[in-house]
Amino acid sequence: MKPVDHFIQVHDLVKTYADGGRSVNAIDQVSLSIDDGEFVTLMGRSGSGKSTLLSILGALLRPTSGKVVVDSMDLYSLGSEQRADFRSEYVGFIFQSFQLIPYLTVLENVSLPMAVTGLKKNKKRAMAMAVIDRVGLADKQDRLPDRLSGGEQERVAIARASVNQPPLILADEPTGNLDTDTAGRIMELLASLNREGHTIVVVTHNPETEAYASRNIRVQDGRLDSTPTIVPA
Amino acid sequence: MKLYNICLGNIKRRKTRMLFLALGLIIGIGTVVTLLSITESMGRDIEERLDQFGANIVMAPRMEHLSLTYGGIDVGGVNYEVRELDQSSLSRIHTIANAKNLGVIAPKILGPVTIMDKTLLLMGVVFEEELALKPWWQKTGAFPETDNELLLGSAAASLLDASPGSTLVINGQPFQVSGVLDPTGGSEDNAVIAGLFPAQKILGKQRKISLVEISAFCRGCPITELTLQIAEKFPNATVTAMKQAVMSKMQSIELFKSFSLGVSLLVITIGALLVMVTMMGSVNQRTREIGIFRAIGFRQGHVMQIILLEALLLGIFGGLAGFVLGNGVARAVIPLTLEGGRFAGINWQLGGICLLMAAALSLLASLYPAFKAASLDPNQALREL
Repeated sequence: MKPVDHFIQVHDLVKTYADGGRSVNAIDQVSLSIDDGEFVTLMGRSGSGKSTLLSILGALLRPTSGKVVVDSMDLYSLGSEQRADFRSEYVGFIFQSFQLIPYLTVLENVSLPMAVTGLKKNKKRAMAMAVIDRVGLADKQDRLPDRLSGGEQERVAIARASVNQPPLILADEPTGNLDTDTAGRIMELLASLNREGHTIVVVTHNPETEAYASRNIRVQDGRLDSTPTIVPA
Repeated sequence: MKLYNICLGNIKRRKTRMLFLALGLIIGIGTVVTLLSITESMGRDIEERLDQFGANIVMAPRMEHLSLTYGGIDVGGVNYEVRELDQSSLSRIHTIANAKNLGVIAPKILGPVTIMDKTLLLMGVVFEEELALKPWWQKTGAFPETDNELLLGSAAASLLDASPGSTLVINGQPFQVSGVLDPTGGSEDNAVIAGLFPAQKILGKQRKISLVEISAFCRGCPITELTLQIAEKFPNATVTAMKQAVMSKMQSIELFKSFSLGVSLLVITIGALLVMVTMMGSVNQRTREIGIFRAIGFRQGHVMQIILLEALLLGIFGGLAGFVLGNGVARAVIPLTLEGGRFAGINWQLGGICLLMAAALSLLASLYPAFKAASLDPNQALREL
């Protein structure tokens, strides 16, 4: 994985939605920096704008104004296809409710991000099997998602997000649908990925996940809540 | 993992949905194959009937000044002073190169006779051959079985006021009318038809022949070639192919073929629209998946490739299934719609065309849905989760 300093820089970010004839600032003048190798949580209530911020960080949603620079790349000055390439190379997404492809097996779901890379078939399989093994699902590689428990599906989602070895992993409520024990195991898994050097940004409203992060940022009404908290290592 | 693995996974594990998607093509291609197979079988059937029933070659003595009309076909010339062919020379006809294509050979003697002070055309025929050649002849009474019986054309019977069972005297010899032909619209309506031998005797033309009608089995052999071969063996005869009759029948088949092609085109267009609508529905249902693909780094081109590759595979499947279905339906339907009709057999060339057509149609019909899928905003797509 490529080492990067001052990995993410966000300047004066604004995202406005039209809501019944009036415009609402989902993100309102947000500036933020995330360094390489950080584990950051974005905490806030529903509708606070944390998921919108995550989408903008992941090059999925163009902001109304402001700038997002990742690894010296101004994301929204890139074209749509270049942003797709950026996502393929730099970002691993863990979506709310897992979002696995229902007709693909565990192995196929995990291999999905590599379908558009030029890696050799054997190399792809070896990389996919390594992350599947790591999340403890080696014996379930041929199962379809509907034959897995919620925790197992979340682990498949984590394996898929990390299989390409992206520098940045973005997770939207990864423990939202899980019981406390399973949620703890999932956060452990994310923490271990962070220890290996992945920068991780997790959107959550679960205070228990704060313990795994190196920094917790509170989001309220589209703004960051005062000075971001730095959690001592 | 390649893009095609995604298509195969989708097709393999969503069989019912895929079958529904391919249904438009299966029905479209199936209809085309059924219609074209029926047309082909009809054509073959009519050709075979033409070959077996009814003359398609007429041989008559070469004339210089006289014209002869029989059955509405100009065969070179005859009147009541015609020259004749020698009956014994007829065996030469079997020495032509395409002798195996010869079917019925029906010799005739023609001449005037006076019956009850009325002059009529006497036609001497070999009844066995003549009836094989003209299965459409319907009669009242029976066909002659002995040399003392004769058959009357409908107009001749009216003129002579004769009916089955009547006795007619020709040249002092009594003949019993065994039957009267229903009107055919042909020359036989005006004729008195007797056996070849008694007719030759009445006309004083023993061992002579005025005319020979020949039916040839001409599938795969050009009728003109047969005509030339016969003409070579009979230099004193005019051999004419009755192309007109064949052409008019073939024209009917061509008309039906054009109709079939028109219907096929319509069905295929509807099939393509159906594919487009179902593909569009499929894309809408897969918005979530497409959002995930785009979010994990698939380019618009990758999404299009997935949709179009699926369309291509569905097209090939639809084409194959439609071809099998169409042949199956044609095989089942032909005996019901064509009396004595037989399935003409599987046309592999048509199969190849159908396969290409189905694949091309499926791709064309999926272009817009694929473009729409590729253009989906990934964030928007994910928000529809």
